[in-house]
Amino acid sequence: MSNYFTNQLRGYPVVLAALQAYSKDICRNCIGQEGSQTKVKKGLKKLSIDLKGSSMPEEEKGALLAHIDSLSSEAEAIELSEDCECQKTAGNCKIGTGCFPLGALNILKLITEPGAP
Amino acid sequence: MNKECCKTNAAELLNIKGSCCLETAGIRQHLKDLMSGNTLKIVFDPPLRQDMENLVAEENCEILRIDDEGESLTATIWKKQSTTELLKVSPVVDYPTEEGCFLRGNHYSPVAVVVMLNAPYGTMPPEVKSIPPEIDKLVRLAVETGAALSGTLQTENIGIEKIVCNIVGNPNIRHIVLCGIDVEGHHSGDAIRALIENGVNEWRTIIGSTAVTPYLFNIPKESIERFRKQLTLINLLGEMNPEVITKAVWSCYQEKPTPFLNYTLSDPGAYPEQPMSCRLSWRVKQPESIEEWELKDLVKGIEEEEKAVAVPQQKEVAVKVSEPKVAAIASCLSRIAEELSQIAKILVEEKPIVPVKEAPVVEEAKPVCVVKEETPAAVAPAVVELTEKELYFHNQLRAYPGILAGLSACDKDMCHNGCSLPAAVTSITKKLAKLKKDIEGASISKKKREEFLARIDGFLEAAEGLPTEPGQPCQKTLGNCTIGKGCLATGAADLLKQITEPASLMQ
Repeated sequence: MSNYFTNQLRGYPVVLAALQAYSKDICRNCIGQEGSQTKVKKGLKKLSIDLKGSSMPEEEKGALLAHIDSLSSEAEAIELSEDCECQKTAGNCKIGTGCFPLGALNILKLITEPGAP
Repeated sequence: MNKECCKTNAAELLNIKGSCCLETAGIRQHLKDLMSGNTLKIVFDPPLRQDMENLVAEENCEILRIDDEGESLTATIWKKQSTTELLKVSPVVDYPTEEGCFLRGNHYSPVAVVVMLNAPYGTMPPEVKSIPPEIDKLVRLAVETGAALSGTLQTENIGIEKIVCNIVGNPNIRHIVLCGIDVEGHHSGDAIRALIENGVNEWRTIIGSTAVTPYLFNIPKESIERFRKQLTLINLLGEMNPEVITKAVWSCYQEKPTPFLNYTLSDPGAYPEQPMSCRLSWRVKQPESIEEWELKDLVKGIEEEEKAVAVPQQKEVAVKVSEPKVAAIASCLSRIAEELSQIAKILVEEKPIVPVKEAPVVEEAKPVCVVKEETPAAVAPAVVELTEKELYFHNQLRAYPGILAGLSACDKDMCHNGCSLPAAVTSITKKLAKLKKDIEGASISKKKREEFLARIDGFLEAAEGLPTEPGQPCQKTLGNCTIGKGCLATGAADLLKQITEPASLMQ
């Protein structure tokens, strides 16, 4: 069970680092970045709820929860404009159909094992 | 109701000359059988005139005219619509309660038209001009044909909530015509169909909808139920033919049942309950970001909040206040008013009071477009000036900050001792070197070249701090990395694959 949480938490620093980097770009004004930030925050919240409800030893649980808290603070600190809009629609982002923040978020999907408890 | 029009449509003629009594001549039954809005001509003897007038009034009919032909009279009689059928009421004072991209027509009309806005997200509002012309045409046509409201719908949650609010505020609206191509990704048209057919479940999710987030968190459940009861759905999803839409709208306000495709339509009059003034609570501003696992807690919270709001109202009704208490309360309120007045004076002296902007008055007779107030656009560097080649380099360089940040994060993990991270770093470094070479040889402006090269140097410098030593063992093989087949470092490097434009230079 602990392996599940540990593995999930290995993905978040990578995603957060990429999102922080893209917040220096026009992605800062983008709903893609805003949505990815929300997804990360919620993913961490869900992980925290699941962890609290798990039968893991308290000490181990505490360490993982602290890690989640730290990652949540990082997610919260990602800089965003007050009014975000799709930068493709606004004509500023011309990379094609892809999206850097959503691509970064998809790194989490690379973690496939073990399955959720 | 245009009585003159009905008069010309009169067909039946009844001659009861010589009859001594209207009852025995079967006139009462004839008047009973006369369909609402239809007319009947009766030729009768002059002494029966008063009886005829009385009987006509009793049977909810009206004499439009009486032609005196000397020996006989000919009455043209019109059967009135029953009061419930013709009932039209005023909408709520603040109708339409929610803003949106729609046009207003006659609010006594029984039909609203919703055209699916299958266009890229974010094109409206506020950039109403960017509505595709064929959609705009349908919206205008519907209101010109006689719809009470006609507008576009894009989202399967907030968009539908706004429609619900505006329709329950006007009980005269009894039909909703859905038309246009359903919105890709949102399936809002299907969501509104499912809402009318099935309603919502305990988690405020539309039952049987194919939409991804068909959640209605911001409006009361009562308004959803009322919306479903008030309306008949005319489902023309996929239809873009203006003639069909026009016929649908026209059929809805006919007084007689009118066949239209598989429907039989007419105006049944206003819904026999008070209009509901309903606005979005905005408790959930981004329903599309709600995960399924959050629904339970979220809905529980909303319902508790609704209960908390409802309880004081019940108490207010239950409390009986005696006269001396009323006097005491009045005295207290008077003191409070005085205090507030003094505070206001102090504030006025410090700073001039900004007058409150009145809500814009919307004309009722003419269709008007009600749109959201325009918000300032987010600041973003313009890329319109770049040539295709410059855009290629610009796009490529945009990916690297995220890639390098991701690889740096991997470096702090067990990936530091693995084989994939150095491989990813080497690959990225090579790509940067190739890009640098391409920029140096490209025919682009000197300023842009220098700018791009400086950025590449910065990226290469950052990459130097990352491991590139080959030959380290795979952390999966060692049993340390157990995330599955995926690889975080490779995933970070693959962010470059998000770029697909300009397509001509992507080879």
